[in-house]
Amino acid sequence: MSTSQAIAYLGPVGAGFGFQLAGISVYEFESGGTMLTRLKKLITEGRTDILFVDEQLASDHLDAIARLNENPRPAIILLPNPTNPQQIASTSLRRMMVRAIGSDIFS
Amino acid sequence: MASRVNPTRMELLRSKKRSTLAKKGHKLLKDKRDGLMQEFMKIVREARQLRDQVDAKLAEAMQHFVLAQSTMLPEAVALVRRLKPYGIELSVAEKNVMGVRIPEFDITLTETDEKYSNWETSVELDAAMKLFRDLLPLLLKLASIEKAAELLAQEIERTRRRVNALEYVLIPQLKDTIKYIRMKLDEQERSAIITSMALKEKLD
Repeated sequence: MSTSQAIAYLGPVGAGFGFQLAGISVYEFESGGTMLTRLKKLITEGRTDILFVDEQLASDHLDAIARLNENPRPAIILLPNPTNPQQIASTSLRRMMVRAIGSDIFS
Repeated sequence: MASRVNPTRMELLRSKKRSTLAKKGHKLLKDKRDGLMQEFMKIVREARQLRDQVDAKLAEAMQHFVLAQSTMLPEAVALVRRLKPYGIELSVAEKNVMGVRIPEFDITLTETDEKYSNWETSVELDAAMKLFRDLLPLLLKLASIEKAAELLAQEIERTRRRVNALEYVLIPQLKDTIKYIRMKLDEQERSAIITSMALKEKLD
């Protein structure tokens, strides 16, 4: 077992208030492109074990994020956008299920 | 493939051994795939429930934070944003599920000296913080479970490909090779008998 202070939130400007007060490292972005660059940098640095990513910022880069999430660590978890939740995270869970067992049993 | 093989008894024995091994491996991999699928179904059900729970609680907490920011003075918000009232220590353990190493996360939340003043902040901020503190363990659990589902899905896909490769490529190929060698050996045997019969006839 290893211990670290390694949780980060990557979200839109102004959305990371709660995460920051809870002691989580917050990175705020205007666009998904800059977010992806930072995400890749954080993964390369290897000090972060959990990365919470805003789904709206991630929406244009879902394939790239899925590829980055293939290794055991870090865990990249999509969280709903506070102002415009799009259920992208639930959709990616469904996609994962189709990939694994061939059908979506919840539909 | 079969035509490239030397039709000898040694090669027949080797092919038979490979075929038996491939069949054993196929059965083992099929059992592994079924086991992984069972585990995956359990995890995915839990992940779905937890995801709904987290999404609802996070939306509620975020609403409180927005409300808190709107009721506080901008200077107070800027001041609070610079503080870190809590410190997080993350522990990562690993669980092995049928050869797949799955991380399990746990956190310890500690209070720091950087407290915000109750005079400058709104009651909403306290309520939002309470909601967020309650939400954190669920977020961590979600991270563990969704990562487990992702890793199991990858392993199922990999195992399924191996099972299919054995079932539809290697095993039929070995079967063809064995059949080809047997045919050739039988042919050689028949040819040897005919040759010896012809020789015997000539001698008589």
